[in-house]
Amino acid sequence: MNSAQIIQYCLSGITVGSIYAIVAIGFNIIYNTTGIINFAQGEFLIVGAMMAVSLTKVVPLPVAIGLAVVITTVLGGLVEVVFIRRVRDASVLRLIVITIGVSILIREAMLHIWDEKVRSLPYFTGTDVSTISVMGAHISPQVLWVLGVSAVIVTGLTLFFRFTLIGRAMRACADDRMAARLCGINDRWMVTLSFMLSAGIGAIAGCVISPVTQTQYDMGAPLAIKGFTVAILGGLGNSIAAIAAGLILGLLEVLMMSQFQAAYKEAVSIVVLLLILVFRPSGLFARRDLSSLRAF
Amino acid sequence: MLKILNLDAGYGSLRVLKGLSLHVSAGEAVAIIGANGAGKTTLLKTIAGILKPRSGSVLFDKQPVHTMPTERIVELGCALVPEGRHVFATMTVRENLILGAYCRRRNGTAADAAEDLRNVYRLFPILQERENQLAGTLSGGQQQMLAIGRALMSRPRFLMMDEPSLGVAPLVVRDIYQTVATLKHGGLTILLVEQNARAALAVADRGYVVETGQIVLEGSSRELSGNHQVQRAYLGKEYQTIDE
Repeated sequence: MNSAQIIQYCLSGITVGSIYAIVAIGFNIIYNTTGIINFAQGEFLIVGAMMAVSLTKVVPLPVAIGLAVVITTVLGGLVEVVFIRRVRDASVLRLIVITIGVSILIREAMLHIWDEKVRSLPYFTGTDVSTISVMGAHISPQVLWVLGVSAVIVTGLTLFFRFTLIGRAMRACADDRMAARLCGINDRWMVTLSFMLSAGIGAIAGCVISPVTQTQYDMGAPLAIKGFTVAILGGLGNSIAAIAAGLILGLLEVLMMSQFQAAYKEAVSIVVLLLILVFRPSGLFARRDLSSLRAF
Repeated sequence: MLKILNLDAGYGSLRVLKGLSLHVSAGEAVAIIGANGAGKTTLLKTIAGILKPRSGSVLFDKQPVHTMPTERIVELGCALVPEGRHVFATMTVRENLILGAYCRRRNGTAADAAEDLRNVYRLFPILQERENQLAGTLSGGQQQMLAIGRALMSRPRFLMMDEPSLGVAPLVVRDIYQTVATLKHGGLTILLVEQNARAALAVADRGYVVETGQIVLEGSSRELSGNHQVQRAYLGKEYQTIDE
């Protein structure tokens, strides 16, 4: 392999890695306020992208994406209000199973609305053949969009959770629900908000990656598995670590593809998931003091 | 300030409070003493709106609050320091305190919260030293101080404390009760639940004794401290000393 090839591989690893990272961050947001894993997160990405594809027929691309994100955000809120909020004696496990059910429901609904055809949004800048060369390697400008949007989302979320009152209130709900209520925090609304936030972010991610990966009604589940692996690898709830973990998984997959057969690529995330669950279940970057204070 | 009438509450099929009534006037410190499982914690949780009563009423400033969600009750100025402290373990001391002022976000400004933060730090200087430490890594006594400080950040007019001496070193218990006395002299109305009857009656004006979900005895702290039954059951005095 020459250096240009290596750079090429690295760049594509970084690209898929940052996509996984955004999915993982969606998991983290809901985990951080509710302690549950929302397995419908992958579907939020696809709903967002599908919606945007349909809307581009009537409105310009930026408007279509904006509308798709808003609609998906509302959908995320609805999922929580309809399926999660009413559950009595809600144990974490029960809620997680409900999110699996919701993911199937959304997937089937998408099949009815958009059929099984593969679609994609147009490239945000340039076309599918335009490239930018980086030290001899060629990358699509859409890759820069993916990287840029990931960076903005992560920075924004980190600031939101650390420095805003609402962000802190959401973390408080995850930490101790009763104490949060005693501080005057409306915990039900915080949970709804976390579903809206992660659905909205999922929709943004779905739109940004659509030109590169294309979009089909059943692509949510595989994305969710990758995102889940990354979330666990970094340490649940930690969005900065999710970025690093996403890049690690992305690069591992590309390494696998370049050295062995491409088909083995899919196995990488499963192997990584199993290894991390066995040997370091709190994640690669878990702060030991913090993880001992968590429920799981 | 607080009036409870015929309160019935419990968990599932378990009836814990059985027609309990009591009142707390403005400016008073009232202690509720009783054994484990008598219903003391259930009572405070019901007042705070964490538990909904089956029947009976809780009036706060003559307003029925037993149908309100907890966050509304906190906004009215009724705060609870829960049993077992319940600090936000994964957040810093400072973040814990700031969240205490969450219920005032609509009417209070950020400057006000900073002032309350200074007041809490004056009351518990150790919290200022540990400002950026994760609350879960504090000692039991420090967590108790943080829990009280967090409740004070909501600027309550009525403060309920559930077993503030539980799991706290004896020297720190004294500190905490000194603070409770300071708060009382500052005009705060206090309802205190304790198994440590001696400490509670020392700071309270009046007391109630709860047994199996009912009030069995009430009186001024002096009367209760002098009552043989209370001495035997809750103050740990031997028969002999009583006889003398």
